[in-house]
Amino acid sequence: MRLSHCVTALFLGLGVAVFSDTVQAQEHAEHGRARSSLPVQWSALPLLQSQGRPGERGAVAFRVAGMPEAELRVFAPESPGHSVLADKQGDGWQLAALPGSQGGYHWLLAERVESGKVLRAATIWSFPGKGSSPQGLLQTPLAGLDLRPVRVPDKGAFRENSSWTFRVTWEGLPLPGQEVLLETENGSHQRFVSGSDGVVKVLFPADYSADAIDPALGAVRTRKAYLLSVAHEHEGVQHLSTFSQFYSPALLRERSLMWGAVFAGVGMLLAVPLIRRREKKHA
Amino acid sequence: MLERLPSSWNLARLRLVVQLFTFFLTVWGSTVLGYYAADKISTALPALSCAYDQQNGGYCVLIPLQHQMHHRIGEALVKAQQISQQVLLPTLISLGSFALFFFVLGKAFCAWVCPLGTVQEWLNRLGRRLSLQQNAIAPRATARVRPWKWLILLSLVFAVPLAAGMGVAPHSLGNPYCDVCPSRVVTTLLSGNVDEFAVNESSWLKFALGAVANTLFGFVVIAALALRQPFCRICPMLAMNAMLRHASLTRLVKRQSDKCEKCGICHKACPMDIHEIHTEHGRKAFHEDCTLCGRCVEYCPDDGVISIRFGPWAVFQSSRNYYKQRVKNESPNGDPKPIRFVRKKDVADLA
Repeated sequence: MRLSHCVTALFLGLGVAVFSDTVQAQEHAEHGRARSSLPVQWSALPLLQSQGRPGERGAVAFRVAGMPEAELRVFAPESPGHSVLADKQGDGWQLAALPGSQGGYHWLLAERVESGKVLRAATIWSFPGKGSSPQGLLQTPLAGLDLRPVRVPDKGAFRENSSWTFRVTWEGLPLPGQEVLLETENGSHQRFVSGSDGVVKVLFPADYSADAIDPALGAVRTRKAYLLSVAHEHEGVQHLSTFSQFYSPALLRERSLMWGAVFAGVGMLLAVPLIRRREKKHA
Repeated sequence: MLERLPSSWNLARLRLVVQLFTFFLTVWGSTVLGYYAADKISTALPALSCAYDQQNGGYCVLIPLQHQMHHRIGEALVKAQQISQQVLLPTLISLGSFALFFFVLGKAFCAWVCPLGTVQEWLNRLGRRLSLQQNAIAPRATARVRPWKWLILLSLVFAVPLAAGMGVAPHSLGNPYCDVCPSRVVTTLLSGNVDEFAVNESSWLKFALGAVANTLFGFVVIAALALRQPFCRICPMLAMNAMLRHASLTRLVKRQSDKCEKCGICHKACPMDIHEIHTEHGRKAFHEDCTLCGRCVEYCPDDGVISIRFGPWAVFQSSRNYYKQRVKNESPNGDPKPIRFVRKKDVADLA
């Protein structure tokens, strides 16, 4: 069989696969639509989350559960030390990138001060636009008890079975030996302890069941919420800070290394006819 | 200018050093530059520096182009929006960034920066060291191979993502070129990530695309041992670079010479088997397949016939003396010359 025949067969197969898929005009609104990750019931702790989908244009809705009458501040990557108080609309907020910002990751912090308690719920959200690097945001902890990731995924996602580091600080300084709790919407609970530098390494549990992966979104875009929390007492005041975001299934849940190796092997075999030893010239 | 290099240096060695640097930058550059898109050199590089490689220092223009065809232009056409800043501007910014890079360095991005091009070249060196018979594409056969890069560019980079955005093609065909590009597999494997080597089983379409990608990857890895730059010949980036090559400051120039007719060494030296470098001169000699590797300039045995120019300046031009030195180490077709061991006594006798 000639190489051209193989290539033709491959493209024909691809054509069949294309037309066997749903070729009707898809509702593009489904792209990236998250299944229910509303901040309800799965955790008793303060939880700030969006109801939007990644890359969504226009205003995105945010709500906080477990912390009524909280104030929400928004920090842009271009000015990590400066925040803007968001206007509450109903039981939540409609947010977009701050004026003057080019989009990208913004830090959102809901806070409520009660007698003897300071509650914080934070998240990080990427608004459309390239935006500035969030490095400044992530390296600028706020006064009080602060919990934030050292790094966030760039054009990717937090995923199960992956490790990410978070930093716990008190008044801007590392808080060592602090217990950090991880809860996931899939039902996992884990405990970690911050190191001498306040850093805690979190290994996201592989707790996605097959049913939890949305067939329309696949492992790439299916997401469930997770919540990290840390508590600290100082001068009789209880401080509780949480950070919530989404995590996705491991990509290898719907991918096969075996098939990858098989087709790479097929490709290599197709090239073998090109490989010949050079004939030695005899005197 | 490059003739002023120390005598132990030549253009090929300089290009190897540049390739080592740009290879590190394009595959692992985030360790130095920063991890986020805003930190990268560019998100519109004219080279196959893959965005799926989370550790890269800058990524390829083809992914934002496909994204814009799909999400901006395609959707806008369906919704019959007025062509506005939201539709055209992002696409123009991507193309403009690409054009800016390209205006300065031109097709040199292919031979000096592209990580996939570098990997193929190094594999070919290995094949030569293993004494594998090398293949070349005959002039008549190149006519059958060359149109493929245009077909891939027009279909997989532009038409299919546009169709996906308009709802005519499945949404999962939003970035079809990336789904089959071997650079995605190569650069992510090099950064320790096997996710892109694994084939997606969630649908027949994704499975088929993954199968094509991995088959192409396997083919390129082996074929590169015995054929110079196998994937470059059908690469859509080569086609995109070709569109603007005469507008770039960096270009190849060949003047007419009577000695060319019986020579043809430049054609043998060319890793892209461009016979026009031998038979043509002027604009026609700077062919769409040229990657500005400079080998034709190195191996031209006549002074000043072929040169690489930056604007009005000749950066490097052919020279008989350079040619004599160059062929001592490597044949025009890339075969390394055996290292000669000569006894001191014999050297003294020769002197």
